[in-house]
Amino acid sequence: MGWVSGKLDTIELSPKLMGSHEEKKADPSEELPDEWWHKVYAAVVLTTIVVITLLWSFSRYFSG
Amino acid sequence: MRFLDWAVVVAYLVYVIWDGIRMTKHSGSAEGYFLANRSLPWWAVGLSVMATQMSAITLVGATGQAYTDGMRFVQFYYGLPIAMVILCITLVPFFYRANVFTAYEYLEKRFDAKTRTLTSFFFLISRGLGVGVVIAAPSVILSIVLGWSEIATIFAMGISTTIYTMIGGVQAVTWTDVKQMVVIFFGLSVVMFVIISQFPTGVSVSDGLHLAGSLGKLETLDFSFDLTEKYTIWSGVFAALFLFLSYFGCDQSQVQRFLTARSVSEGRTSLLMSAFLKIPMQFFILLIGIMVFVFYQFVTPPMVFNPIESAKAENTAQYQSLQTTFNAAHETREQAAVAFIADKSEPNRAAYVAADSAFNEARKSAVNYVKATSNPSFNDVNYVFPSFVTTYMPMGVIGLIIAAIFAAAMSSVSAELNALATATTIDFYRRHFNPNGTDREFVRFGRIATFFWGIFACIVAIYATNLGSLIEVVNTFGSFFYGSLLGVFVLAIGVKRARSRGAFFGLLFGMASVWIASRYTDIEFLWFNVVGCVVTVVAGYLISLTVRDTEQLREVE
Repeated sequence: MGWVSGKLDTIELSPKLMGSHEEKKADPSEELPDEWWHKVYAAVVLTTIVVITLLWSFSRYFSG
Repeated sequence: MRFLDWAVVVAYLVYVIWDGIRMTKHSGSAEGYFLANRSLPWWAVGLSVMATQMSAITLVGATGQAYTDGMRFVQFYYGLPIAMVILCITLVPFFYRANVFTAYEYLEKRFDAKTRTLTSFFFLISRGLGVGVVIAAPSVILSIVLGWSEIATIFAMGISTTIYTMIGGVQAVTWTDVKQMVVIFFGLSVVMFVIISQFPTGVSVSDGLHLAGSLGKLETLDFSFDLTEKYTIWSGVFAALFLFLSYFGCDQSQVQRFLTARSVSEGRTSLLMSAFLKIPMQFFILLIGIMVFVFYQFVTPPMVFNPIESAKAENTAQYQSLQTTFNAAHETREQAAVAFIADKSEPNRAAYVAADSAFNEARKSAVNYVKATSNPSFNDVNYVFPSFVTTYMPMGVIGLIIAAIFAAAMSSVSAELNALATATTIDFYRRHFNPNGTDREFVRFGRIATFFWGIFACIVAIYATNLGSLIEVVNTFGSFFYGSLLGVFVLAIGVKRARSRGAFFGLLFGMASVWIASRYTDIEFLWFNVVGCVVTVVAGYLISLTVRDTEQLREVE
């Protein structure tokens, strides 16, 4: 394995082209599909909004 | 501190060093030593990410800050979940599939060796000094609490962490982080339980929260748009977003955490763990500070929490006079608090607020007296929690909390030493001096680099405890770097036309712009990250346009 990675000839942004011969071959069975991740990201955003709203309600309740 | 407390602290230190050292068997190869063979489960990586971010001063400072200033600090974390989602979509798959050891290694693939070396160099300088401050800040507090010299505390923390990090590599860092998080949260949960159990009869948690709430200490949303205000929803959601993107996505001490995960999915999940847990976790830590505040409504608090400064001043006539006024103000406030709990009417609330205001004036007079007579930069916020724990916690719990403070410091320091060693080995030694070296040589050099950075951090910590301004310099330098570093990665991943010259000079322009902003404006440091990132991207893009590489462009298009 070559320790020094050569600069890529192109600047294509796809991660698949990064690292050329060194690219890690991820086992597809380990990776979850994009659709699933989109739902997770939506859940993170929604949960954050809910948590901030709960914190706001908490401060309003005890300040009032 | 009694025998049982010392036993808990010593048992913690011995266990954590032993636990770290026994990871040696997993660290024979460079990939094993620096990346744990990319084999770690998401929950361990996720806990390590959180442990690395939470230093001792975060733990001690946040509780003290809640005591004095309320829960406004929680807004700082509102941008974190969004940052994690952005990183999961962008940088995590890029770094993971590129099979890199360091974030900066990727910049050579995208730009050139010069850009990689420059960013890695800035990382080493800022993080190398920063880890010294991470050791120094709790060492000053613990030396006073434990009665040790500062140097002894620095070396107890710094050397023990260096030993297991040096020997066990990233495996040791991650698995000790997991146990350290358990120690921290078990300790904090016990403290919360003990504080509440020590409330006077008839005072419930709800009563305590009403007391704190009536003084505005439970405010968790400030909508005022003021760039000179540190904690508002805007600084949390926008400015801190840039800081978190840079810290979790471009700082090797965090990037290295998720690079050890088994797959892209596990790396993403480990970051999203923080996205879900960080705000509630920080709320819990701040709530402990609020509960300490409620406790001190019914028990006279120290007028000055730093026992050394208090001891210096307490024999003077003026300080004793201030103490008398302070005690009277506390008594009035306590009576007003009891009346407010019994009847939460508006007049009782107004009387309580007025009594608290008088109490704060009395304390402010004492603080000003210490500033005028002893220490002009005196600030005892960080002593509130340790002072409370050592005075009012039962035997054994004191040791547990001291162990938790050690754990918080060591979990950050170990990850940072490991990241410094990795960047030194991969970005400098392997890249410039020994490209054809063997695994054994890289692991050996990594261990030497860990040892070097550990000693360097201890030396910086010794000086940082004496030179308060050094802490400011390090923090300011870090904020110069973070936004600009993020700008370089935005250029690398998001701007096709960006070229190495643009990235290199864009970084320098970004850092210069932050320096100008810090020198000639009053904006809070969180906004420096926005300034640095935007200037780096714009300057980098414009400079890239001056590069004539039409052939390359055609290839892309």
